[in-house]
Amino acid sequence: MLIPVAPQWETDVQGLKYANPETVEEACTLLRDHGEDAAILSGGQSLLPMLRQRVGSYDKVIDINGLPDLEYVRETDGEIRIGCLSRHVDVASSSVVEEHCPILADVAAEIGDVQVRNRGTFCGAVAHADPSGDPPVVATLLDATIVARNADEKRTLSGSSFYHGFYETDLSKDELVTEVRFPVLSAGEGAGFEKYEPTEGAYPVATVGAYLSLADDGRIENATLVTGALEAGPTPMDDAAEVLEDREPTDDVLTEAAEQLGEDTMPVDDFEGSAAFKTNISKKLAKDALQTALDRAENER
Amino acid sequence: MSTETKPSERVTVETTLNGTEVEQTVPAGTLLSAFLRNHEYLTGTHRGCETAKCGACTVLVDGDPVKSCNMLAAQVDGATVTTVEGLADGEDLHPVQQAFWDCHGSQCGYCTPGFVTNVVALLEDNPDPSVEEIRSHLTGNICRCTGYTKIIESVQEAAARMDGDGK
Repeated sequence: MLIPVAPQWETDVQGLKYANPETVEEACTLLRDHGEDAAILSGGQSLLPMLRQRVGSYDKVIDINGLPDLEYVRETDGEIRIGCLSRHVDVASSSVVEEHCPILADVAAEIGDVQVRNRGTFCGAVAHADPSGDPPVVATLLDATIVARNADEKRTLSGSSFYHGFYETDLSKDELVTEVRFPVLSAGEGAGFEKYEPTEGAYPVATVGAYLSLADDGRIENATLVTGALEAGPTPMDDAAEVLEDREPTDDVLTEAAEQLGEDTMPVDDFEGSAAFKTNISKKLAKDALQTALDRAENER
Repeated sequence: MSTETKPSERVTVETTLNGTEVEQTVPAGTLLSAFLRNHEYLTGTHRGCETAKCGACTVLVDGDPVKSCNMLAAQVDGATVTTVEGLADGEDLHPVQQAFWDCHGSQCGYCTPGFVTNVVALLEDNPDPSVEEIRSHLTGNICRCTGYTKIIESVQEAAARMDGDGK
């Protein structure tokens, strides 16, 4: 058939090598042998653009979509366990998540667009550590447990100390994240997430996650606030959280914490907005996220 | 495709494409959009932004809308792929295509295959979507001509004609 076609160089990721292991062991062996220049392909929604733009030094991909039994969202031992092949759409529509940790559904349902959510994986987004990514914020906020494997061993990493700036995490290049675990939020606990995106489906310019737990007398026992997209990844805002601790969760107290968060954040001016704009929007997001966290904590009581 | 235990520069892709079994060996870096257009000559799938933002290249993989510029062809090995060419029944357009035609849901037409495939998936999940649900579902598809109004009307018309039976 004589149909003019675009030249290969225009469409292909030239020279890319591809492997599709069938077991986790095989995948880990490949990572051990090729980890320095191999990328793990799960959903691929962030990876493919990077490969095409030659960002990073990958010339191999290890496609893990054929690994068995890693697509699940379930509750086990007081934790919500998300397998590394579960897509955002699976997390967004999970009844377990809705019941025990609805903030995960809030996050997953608003990532990108429906095409992206059908492919992109939640664990992949946690591991990828995009500074504007939403799953890293919630992994930090709720101190998720990240289960990683290499050819020799399995280890668990703490979500609250997992991120170290732009695309940097505690993971080694030979490790595969097989599961991420989030705590089941019990009575008196609640979490909320808010983001500002310039257009729907775009990467957010500012995000805030808030977690609250209430004591029996209704006062705030513990609070955590984490921002995303404003700095080089998930950023715990401890001083703002401290404002809340051991106080009545009144509107004024939530506002005070949100203002503190805005004062403490250190965004930069860029094409998406001035630092002053981002500071202001982060205050509003923090207030809304705190309100959601409080409503959920009170309703669960 | 047999399992590649070593990273390989060429991959064999076996897929059910618009109801037909196809098998091709292509460079591993071949994108699904390039596979469809350059290797299978199905040029109804349009390449727009090439950065996974515009949705013109949307196809259905196992029934789910995905952007074919943002997947490797190797990833559809063993899967079922439906492109805009696979929607019509012979000479009869799919009700979504017919509704886009009748309601002027397309102007220049470049984005239309992506919209149509995405809408087919929407109406399968949700036979009677609200305007808000339609808009939300279509955020990943960009149209620079219509202003979307006619597209929304097309979706509503298609939903009414399909009357909830998915056909």
